[in-house]
This record gives sequence, structure tokens and C-alpha cells, in this order.
Amino acid sequence: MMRWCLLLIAIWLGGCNRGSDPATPAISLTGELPIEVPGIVRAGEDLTIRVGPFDEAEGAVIELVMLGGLSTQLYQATVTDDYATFELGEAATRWSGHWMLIAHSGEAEGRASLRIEPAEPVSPMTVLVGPRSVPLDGESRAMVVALPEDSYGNPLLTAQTGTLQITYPDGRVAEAILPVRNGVGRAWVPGGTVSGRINLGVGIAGAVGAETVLEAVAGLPNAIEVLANPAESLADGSTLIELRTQPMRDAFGNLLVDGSLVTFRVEIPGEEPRNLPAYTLDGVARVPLQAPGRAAIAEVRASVYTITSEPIEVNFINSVIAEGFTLRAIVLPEESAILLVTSPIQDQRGQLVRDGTLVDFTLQDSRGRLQQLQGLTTGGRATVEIRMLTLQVGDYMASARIGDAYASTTFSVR
Amino acid sequence: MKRRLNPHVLLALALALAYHGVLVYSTFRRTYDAYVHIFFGDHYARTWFDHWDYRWYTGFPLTSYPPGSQQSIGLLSKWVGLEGGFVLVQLFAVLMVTIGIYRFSKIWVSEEAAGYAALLTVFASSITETIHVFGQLPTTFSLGFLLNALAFAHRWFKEGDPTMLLAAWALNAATTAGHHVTTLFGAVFFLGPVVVLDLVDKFRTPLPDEPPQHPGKVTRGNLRPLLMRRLRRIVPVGLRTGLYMAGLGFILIMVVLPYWLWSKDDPISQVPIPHSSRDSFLENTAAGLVFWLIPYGLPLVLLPYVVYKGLATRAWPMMLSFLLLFLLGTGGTTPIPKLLLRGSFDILTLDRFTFWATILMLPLLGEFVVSMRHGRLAKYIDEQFGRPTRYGVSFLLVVGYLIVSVFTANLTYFRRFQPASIEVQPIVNFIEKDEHWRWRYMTLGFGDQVAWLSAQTTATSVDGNYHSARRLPELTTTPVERLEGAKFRGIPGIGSLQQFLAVPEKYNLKFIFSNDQFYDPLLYFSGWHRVQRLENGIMVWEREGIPPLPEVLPRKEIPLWQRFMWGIVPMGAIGLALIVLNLVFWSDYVQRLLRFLGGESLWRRLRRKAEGNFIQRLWNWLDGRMKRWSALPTDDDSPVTHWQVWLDWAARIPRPKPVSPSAKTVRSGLLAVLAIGVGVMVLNRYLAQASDPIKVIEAYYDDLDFRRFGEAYQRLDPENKPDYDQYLLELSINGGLLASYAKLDAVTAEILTVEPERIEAQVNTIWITAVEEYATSRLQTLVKRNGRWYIEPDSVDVRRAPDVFIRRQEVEWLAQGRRRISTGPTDYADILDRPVIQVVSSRLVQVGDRYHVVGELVNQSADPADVTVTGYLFDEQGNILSWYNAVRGTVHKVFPYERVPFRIDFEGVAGSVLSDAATAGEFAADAFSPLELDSPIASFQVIAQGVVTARDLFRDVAIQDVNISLGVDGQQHIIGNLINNGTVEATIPQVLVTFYDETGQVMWVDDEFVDVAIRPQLMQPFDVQITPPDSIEVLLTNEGDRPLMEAGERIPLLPDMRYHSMQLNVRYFVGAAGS
Repeated sequence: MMRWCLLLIAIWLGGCNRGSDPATPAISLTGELPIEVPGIVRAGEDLTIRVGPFDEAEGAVIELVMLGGLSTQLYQATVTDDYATFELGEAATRWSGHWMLIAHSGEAEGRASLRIEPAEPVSPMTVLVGPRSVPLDGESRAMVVALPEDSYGNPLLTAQTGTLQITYPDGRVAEAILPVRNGVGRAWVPGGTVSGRINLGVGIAGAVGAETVLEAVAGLPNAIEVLANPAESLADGSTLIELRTQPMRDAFGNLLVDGSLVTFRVEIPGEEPRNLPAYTLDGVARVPLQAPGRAAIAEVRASVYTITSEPIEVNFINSVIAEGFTLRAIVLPEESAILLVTSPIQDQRGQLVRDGTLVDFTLQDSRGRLQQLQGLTTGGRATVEIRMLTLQVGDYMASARIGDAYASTTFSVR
Repeated sequence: MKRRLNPHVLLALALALAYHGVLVYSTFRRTYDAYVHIFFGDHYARTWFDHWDYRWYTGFPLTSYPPGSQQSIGLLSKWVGLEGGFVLVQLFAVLMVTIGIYRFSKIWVSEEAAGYAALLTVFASSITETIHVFGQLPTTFSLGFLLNALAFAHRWFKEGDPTMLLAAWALNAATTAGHHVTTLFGAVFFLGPVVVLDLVDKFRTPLPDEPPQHPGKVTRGNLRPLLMRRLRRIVPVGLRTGLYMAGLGFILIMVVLPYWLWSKDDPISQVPIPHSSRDSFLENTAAGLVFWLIPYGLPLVLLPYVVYKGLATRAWPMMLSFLLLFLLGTGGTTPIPKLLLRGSFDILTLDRFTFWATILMLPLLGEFVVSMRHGRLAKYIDEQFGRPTRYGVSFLLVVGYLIVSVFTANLTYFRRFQPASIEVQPIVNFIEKDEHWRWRYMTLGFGDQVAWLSAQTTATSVDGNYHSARRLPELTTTPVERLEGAKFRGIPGIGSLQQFLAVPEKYNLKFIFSNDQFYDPLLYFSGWHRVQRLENGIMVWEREGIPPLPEVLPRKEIPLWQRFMWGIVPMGAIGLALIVLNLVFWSDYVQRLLRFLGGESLWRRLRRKAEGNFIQRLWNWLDGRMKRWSALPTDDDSPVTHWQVWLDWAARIPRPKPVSPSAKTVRSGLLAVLAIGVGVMVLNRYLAQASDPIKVIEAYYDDLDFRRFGEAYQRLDPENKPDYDQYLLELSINGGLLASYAKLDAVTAEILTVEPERIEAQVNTIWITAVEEYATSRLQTLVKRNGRWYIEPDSVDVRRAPDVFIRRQEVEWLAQGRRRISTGPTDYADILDRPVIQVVSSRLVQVGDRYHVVGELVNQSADPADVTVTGYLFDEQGNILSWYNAVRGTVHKVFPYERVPFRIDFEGVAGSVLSDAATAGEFAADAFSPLELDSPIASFQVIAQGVVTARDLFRDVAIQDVNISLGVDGQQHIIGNLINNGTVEATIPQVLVTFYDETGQVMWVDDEFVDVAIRPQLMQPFDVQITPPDSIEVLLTNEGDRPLMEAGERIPLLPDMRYHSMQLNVRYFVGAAGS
């Protein structure tokens, strides 16, 4: 037990270390403390503040509190030769704005105000522009905004005027006034008439910003012209022809910006219109158009937003010669099936039609009942298989059709 | 007397260390829970006393789970890392369980059997599965302490030694620190039988000072003495039990007191998470395998012996407990567990009961080993079948037991429960780069590795891996455990994920790390885009325009004392338990220390004081009275009679006599024939499947779904199938939503025509994707070759693209971001303008019970825009009733001057209305949660905002051959072809149809995905069902809009359609090649 008690006593003694007393002013003052301070200083300048004069207050300690928007600073000085003098350096005056000075010593207190003005603006200034691109439609414009600051980061609040130099893509240079209000200089920048980069230069009281770029882009096209290459093609349901626009320019002759969406509308009699999306490159939009499966004259337009071109016509002609192939029925007894096989099908140019070309087959029994089948060509021939199980005893007529070309044959099931 | 250590226990400990020590280091990464506990351990390693973690579920309290095992990991991680900490703690738990089983078994069976039980524990499939498949740590950690505590509790009940009581309590405290549920249920299923055993033992054992007379029959005169006699025997045990249980209750509350306070103060009502252990194991055979068959393993064949032995010996209380656990562990196979557990049935994971049942089996299995070695079983088999048969059976049982254990330990190799291991460092690097941690992230397809990623970073996620702590209603109202595995949780699951993806700004969710391309369509069509593929193969998805997290995140505070308690008490309890367990090694030193501090004399004084106190005197008086009351008349005596008549009956059953050596040979031969016969039957059943054409079709589609192309190829007609390379090539070019981003949900086949050697069947399949559920139907031909059915291969696509080589100019964009390499804030000059987006038309409409805002917008700027369209609904007072973003009903990446439609589909909180019980486990990606409004809608507003984008700007798919026709469903459809004019495959195209009225206002927007990819210069058909105009009720129209009357892209419609015109837009997702 004694051991435990000794341990507790040791801990208690160790925790009883005597602290030092807080300092107390040697001389106590009462009443109001006069403060001598210049009303306005510039940011970063040295500042001398005197509190006094005092009678018989030598050695008294005066505390000075500077209250500002960004910080509170505390200084201490001793009265010497009737004054307490505070020599404040750059660190104390770096933030511009209104400051409240409060001096006190004991019961005595004095107050004064101080304004610290921003120093000269320095480069580089923050210069912003928005929007970064303006369409050349004669109305759109951008705003350039400059934020002049001194070397301490204080905004330049006083009403000064800067300059704005605008260099257009065609080399033309324009100048404008940039008034500064509440720390912000701003001015409108018209888009001009030529697309490209517009360089902006801002200067305020000798300070400049980094070069700022604004992009002028073409407005909506003045007119759209559509071309088809070739203007005539086989209606084989496969061939692709190219539709494209002439270079599209706005009212000032600028090429439409790359990536603008253009929709080609293709109207083919007997079917719903096709919409083919494309986007511009160097003012030209291109898109392939697949030939329809039968002969027709297609009408093609292109549109950008609300601007639409005049239509052009594209002629699709029959791809296969009429009566240009035959049809045979082949019985496969081992497989319990009948094959309908066409002879090699040739197109208008005398070549075999492309693999995968669709051929419509029709099977009609003696009662007139129809069965529709489809086959794809391979090596010019199209084949379909008919299971014997699905057929009844009797005569059948089979036919095959591709475009306007047609062939038929008959067979009997016994 | 020096105690002799059981050699089997020492061997068991060595084997446990070797077997599990080697395995666990390689298996824990593929388990379910290991990383979750590691994550918790990481939390404690970072901030031991902080109860809050911001990283999951927008913040959750750690006091929601007992911390013992996880704090142990955190503590050890300082020296061996998190993974090493987990392995060490798990190994410690295994060793504790092994010793615990030995001590627990000794309560019920002989010392020798207990030693064998410890040996069997090492290779028990249930233990192996728990450690190497499930990765459960708190279960094993707390079970080890519980089993050890029972041995001390048993001695306390039996002997009344207070040091045993203190030891038992200390170990119970550690059990609670590890897992309070083990203490709670352990009191019922483990402690209960021990209490009953001790009560029965005492009940049947005469006290030394008890009168020796045994009356022949019970009469009125001797009834009270007989009752008193037995009451006097059990009163001390009863009192000890009462004291122990009171202390146990106190420990259960105090050790994890902050947990109980949390569950009382923060009762987040959650929808139960579906768990396969509640399924019927006859229907869900996979669940039956994992949660029933594997845990029991080979001992299932010994179940009759175990039950018989349990009921026929003093272990019957344990056997009753076992039978109850056995029953509860059958899940939904029988209605009994649900009847017994009532509401708890949907909360508890019933595999735990099976696990505990397997633990209770072990003592009796030890008894079985003894019996097989030199007991009655050995004698019986030797006499009836011969010794070689016994050795053979013993050998087979041992080998089988080991094989099942090894198979179980490596189950995650054979059948993956987790995605392949993900290297998380590249993800961590990405999160750290450019202050990406300022936004929340989410993972998809990580499995439980999400916890490992979370442990590597302080970045936060809306998701998590500990469902009890979910806080957002979008999660708590759904049965989805993790958003990242939403596809496995039916309608509420995927619905919940869709909501997070649709309005990510609500959660500051900006990045998604995807390891499962199943979600790619959902992400893309919700407006997300791919940023980059990390070096570990993980795709990073991003959503534009998401505000960063606020500097200060909300948290729910608890009093400081609770935080200190949480940090100190559980680990203190574990430390105390370790001291108790090792008391034998250093108790001498402690006694010396106490002697030095004067503690021994104090203890003696206390004991003397206790011996003479009032309670002791009261007990002596009561015991004396009971002793007097139990005195019988001296002449009331007779010999002891057996009352367990069934033992006599059993003894009368004739024992088989030993048979001749030739009979033994015959019997052994018959046994072997029986075993071979069973094997042949199983083989036959397997082979018979090949002759069933329906089975062949199902197997073929199953092979395709699981990418078993070799097996699928073998099912094709050998006379007509292409060579294997061609087959693979044809499969590989068939991309798209179904081929690459879908999972086969169901396949059914119906035979249409039958020929002798040929069958035509209609195959109906249902595929699930993240955006749509697809039902497909196609004809499939099967041919018979050599008695087996084969599938006729699909005809080859003979279409050819028109051009061999395509030249094409393209516009490319690049948003530089920061033009100067700097870690500082982005320069003003590097921040791009937001594009000017004009909403030209907007309307609030109602279709059925669902509200939509439909309209049209134009990108008026020269840059492509990533657009987010948000609709707000207001009441009369201008209060926001709801807001939602356009998801699949718009085009998010908009070209300059492009005009696109939008449809905002308002939703309520996912899962809040849907009946989860009915839908959990099913899938319907297009399901939604209806909006519940407090007051009527008075107005609406649409805000479209965009940022400049350079991603996913594809417009090369055009529409042609459009036709409007009546479909087989009686509805009007727009059908046509999509042609790909670009140079990359359009993997998942989506057609948007905008319908206008005569004023040019948008009436409705329909959309449909095309399930097949479109290769360059080729076509694919599409079919969009038109929403009938009669079903659309226009509620409000925004008067300030200026709809475009003349637009070249519109297609006029016939007057009878009631839509004036329509416009078709196509957007498409480009898969891996385009990313």
C-alpha cells in the first residue's frame, strides 16, 4: 500500500510545477489616446503611427490593433519622449482597404481610421473573354474582362481607363477603351466578318495581360448546294454513291465551322424519306447514299439547322436485265427436300450480281396458295430449300424475282 | 499431477497451421467477405477512435458491427500489412476453434474422441468453406472463443469454482467483441445443451450427504422428500446458471454498447437482402450445394450414426440442438424454418445454422472414429464383412473426407465467385491524379474487391460492401447489397443503379470504374463516356458537369465516451481472454507480483469475509432445510430399478453372429458391386441427355452464353458444320447488344416438325441486358447422326460491303484541359465556355401513371456539347416536387447546330414502391419506380446545360427504307434499315423517334435499341413500336418555347396517325474497338 501511496505523491508533486505570472502594465493610463496617422497610404509603403503625446507616461506600454477586412494585426510599443511610435513596414500595409486603428493601454483607448490604396497595377493581368467563340452573324459579340491588381494582389478599384487592342484574323486592328469599375475592366468585342482567331491585348496603367484569344466562327450558311457523284447508278440495293455539298459559306464568305451537323434528306418515290447525317469538313459535308433495290429517281436536299438546299435528282436504273436468268427445281430424295436454284444472275454490265443480293421466291400450288421465300445470291446464284414435308401432292409453280427481272418453273409432287 | 497433453490435439494444431496457413494466403482474395473485414481493419488502422467512415454509402458508422476481429487486423497491419493482418487473425481463429472443439467435445465424449474431433475439425468442409470460400472472419473468430468459454462454463456449473466463472465470462466478452450474434445464438444452441446436461447430470447424481434409501414406488408419503432430494441436487447448478446468464447478458450489452445504442437510435429500416440460403435447395440446387451439401460434406453419410449416438448417450441435449439447427439450415426447402423463425427468416442467413450444426456433429464424429478403430462398429464390420473391408471403408472415408475438404478449399478455383483479381494500384493512381478524389466514384463488376480498393484510398463512394450500413433511401429500399452487382438483384437492383447513373450530380458521382461490360450500354445511354482504359484493364467512365464534394461532409456524431468505449472495450475483452487462455503459462509470475503488491493477503481477507457473510449463511440454512425435507422413512427402501426401458428393449435385439470367411468375401463383393452400379447409373443418366433434342438445344445456347465455344461447336452437325476457325470467326463478327452485353436468362424450345432424321424447332430465348430485356424467337434445325441429335449450323452471311477499302475524312476534337503541366488550380484561360443550348420545345405529358417531359433542344454553339437535360416539377407554391434527368430518351453528345429530342422519365426512389419480394432475382431493366407526389403539379421547367466535349461523337449511321406498318401485336411500328456509313462498327445503335403536332411542338419521343451491331457499309433492320397518341395526355406546355415549324429532317405522317410528323435520330455506342 505504501508503494502505491508513494507513487501517487510523486505524480502529484510532478504536476505542481509553478507557472509564471502574466505581465502587467507598469503604468496605467486613462482617458482617450490621441493617434497620429496619415489618412491614406499606398499598399506596401512604410507607415509610422504615433500615439501621444503623453505627460508623465514614460515607459507605459501601448497596444495598437489594426482591424481590416482581411486580417487583424496587433503591435506593442512603449512610450518614449511622450509618444509611443509604431514603425510599420511593408508586411503591415500590403492589403488595401479601410482599416480601423485602436490603441489602448489599461483603461485608456483611442481610435483612428486609415485607408490603404492599391499600388500601381502589375503585369500579368488576369484577362478573361467569354464566350470564347462568337458566330459571325452580325449580332453576336464577346466580352473581355480584365482584373488589374497590384503586386500584393489588391484589386484596382479606382476609376481608371485601360485600352483594348483587337487584332482580327484579316490583320485589321481595332482599339477600344476599357473602363475599370469596382476592380473590373470590361468591354465588348464585336466578332467582325472574318472567321479565325481574334487576338485581344489589354493594358491598364502600364500593366498588361497575357494575350487572349477569341475565336470567330462562321454563322449559318448563306446557301447550300448539293451534288451527287455519280448522278446515275444501278438500283442494286448495294452500291454507294457520294452525296456532298459545295463548300458552305456564311453571309461574309467564311466556311462553315468543322463538325457542323448537316442532314441530307433523300426522297425516293414509294418509300419514306431517308435522313443521312453528316458533318462538315472545310465547309463540305459528305455522306454515302445506298442505291435502292429498284429503279427510281431520288430527290436529295441538305439542311443545316433551318437552312435547306434546293433539291437535286439522282437516277437509279434497273440493275438486272429482264429475263436475264432461269429457275430450276432440283429434287433431293435423300434429303427429302426440293431446291429452287436460279441460274447465274447478271447485272446490266454483264457481271454477276454481288453476293448477298436479295432474291424473292414465290411458290404457288394448284389451288393458288402462295408461299413467299427469300434467298441471297452466292456466286450469282440464289437458292432456297423447300422441305417435302411441307408440300402436298400436286402441281407447283415457282418463281424468282430480282428488281424487274423474273424467272419461273414448275414441278409436281407425286 | 502433471496433465498429459492429448497428442491428437497437438497434431490437429500443427495440421491446422500447415493446411489452412498455406491455403488461406492464396484463397482469401477470392472469398466473399475477406476484403470487407480488411476494409474495416484499414479504418481502424487509420483512425482507431473514429466511429465514422466517409468512404462508403456517403458515410456510415463503424459502430454498426462488432469490431474485435477487424480491430485485430488494424492492429497487426502496422507490422504485417492489412492482408497479412487478416491472414494472421484468421489463422488464430482456426487454432482457437480447433482447441475449442477439443474442449467442447470433452464435455460430451471421451478424451480420445475429443482428440479425434479436433483432428476432424482441421479438415471439416464447413470450416474450410467458411474460411476459404466465404472468407468469414468474425464467425470463426468468435466461435473459437465461444467453444473455449463453454468448457469453463461447464466447469463452473459443475464445480462452482469462481475462477472458472470469471474465465468463461472473459471468453464470452471476447466472443461478443468478435461477433455478438455468436454470443446470442451460442447461448441457445451451444450453451443451452451444456446447461441441460449439467442439470440432468446433477439431477441424477446423489449428493454425498444424501440419505441412501431408494423407495420402490412413489407414494404420497415419499413424494415431497423425493422432490426435495432432486431439487437440492440441482439448485446450486440452477443458481450458478442464473448468475452466469446474468453476467453473460451484461457482457453482451456492455462490450458492444455503442452498437446497441446505434441500432436503437438509428433504426434504418431496410429491405432484406435475398440470400440463397433461404431458397429451396431442391429448386436452387447450386444453393443446396454451397449452403448444405458442402458444409456437411462426407459426414452426411454418417448422419444416422451421429443421430443414433447422440440420442442414445448423454449427448442427447446437444443432439436436440443439432437437430433443430439441421432443420433451420434447410432454408426454404421445408416451410418449418419460416414457421419457427417467422419475421427473422428474411433477415437471417440460414447457412449459419448449418455451420453450427456441423460444429455440433464433430464430437460425435470423433466418437465414430473411436468406434471404427476399436469400438463396436469395428467389431461388427470385422465380424460381418471382414477386417479388410473395415480398413477399406476407413481408408475411403478418410480419403473422401480429405478430398471434400481440399475440393472445398479450392472451390473458388473451379467455380469463380469473384471476378479475376484486379490490380487496384492504377485505380488508386487515377483517383489521386488531378484531385479526382474530390468526387465520388463507383465500381462495377469488382465483386468484393471493391472493399480492397476502398482500403487503398480515402476517396468516397456512394456504394459499399456492407449493406447494414446503407443510408440512402435509394439503397435501403432495395434488396441490392451492392450497386456494383446490381444485375444480380432484379428490378430494384438495376433500377437503383439506373437512378444513380441518371442523376449522378445528386451524389457528386463523377467516376465509374467498370470491370463488367454488361453495364456499358446503360452507362453510355445514361450520358456517361469512357475516359481511358487503365493498365489493369479497368475502364474509367466519367460524367460531365458534376459538382465536387463539399469541403465538409455530414456525419452522425456519437458521444466521446462511446467512441473511447468502442476503441478500448472490445479489444480489452480480447486481450483479457488471451490472458485467461494463457494463464497456465504465467500464473506463477502473477501470483508472485500480487504477493509483492500485497494482493494475496487482500484476496484471503475477502474470501474469509465472503465465507461468513449473510448470503452464505442464508444458503447454509436453506440447504439444511432441504436436506431435512428430503429425508425418507428408513423402511422405504428397495433395489434401484431401471426406468429407461428402451435400453432394455435395445439390449434384447439379437446381435448378428460372426459369419464365415467366405460369407464375408461375398458380402464385401456385393458392397463393391452396389457402389459400381450406382456409378454406372449416374453415367448413363448423363449420356442420355445427348439423345434429347430439346436438351441439345438448351445445352448449345448455354454453351454460347458461357463462351464455351468448343463444346458448342461439338453440338453442330458434323457433316455440314464449317471448320472450327470459320465457326469462331462467324461468331466473333456478330457483335452487338445481345452478342456482347447480354446474359441468357431463359431458353425454351418447341418442336414444330418432326422427320425421321430431322427436327425443326422454335427456340425462344430471353436475354437480359442493362437497358432492355429481349425475347427472341428463331427456327433451329436439328439432324440425327449415328443416333445423336446435332444442330444445323446457321447459314453464313454472304452479304458483302460495297467497298474493299474506305477513305474518309473526319473531324477530330481535343479538349486540352490544362495546357500547362501543373498541379495547381486550372488556369482561367484553360476553362472552356459552356456551349449555348436552346430548348425549343418542352411539354409535360402523362402516359399511364408515369410523368414525362418531352421536347427538343439545339446546340447553338460552334463546339460539340455534352448535354444534361433536367426537368423540374413544381407545385402551386413553386416548391420542387421532383427532378430528374433525361437518360435514354435523348442524345447526350450533340454536334454544333444539331437538334435532338429529349424525354425525361420521372421516377420515384427505386424500390420504394416495387414489391421486392415478388421481383428480387428477376430482371426487367426497363422497370421503373412510379413517382409519388405530395401535391399536384402546377408547373414544370427544363434546364439544359452542357460542357464542350470531344468524346463519343459518332453520326455515321443513317436510316433508310423506313416504313410504318401494323405489327403482329396490333400496334403500329416504324420499321426500316440502319446503314453504317462510317469506318467503325456501330455496336449498339439506338433509334429515337420524335413525334410532332401541327404546331411543331414535340408530342412524344419513342426509342428502341437495335440488338445487333452494324459493321461498316452494312445494314441492320430496326423496329420501333409507336406509342399510341391516345395514351399520351398533355398536361402542360411551356409557352415560352419557340418550336421550329420548318425543319428539313421531319417526315410528314398520315392524318389518321394523329401525329403530324416525325423525326428519326440515331445514336450508337461504339464498343471496344472505338474506345
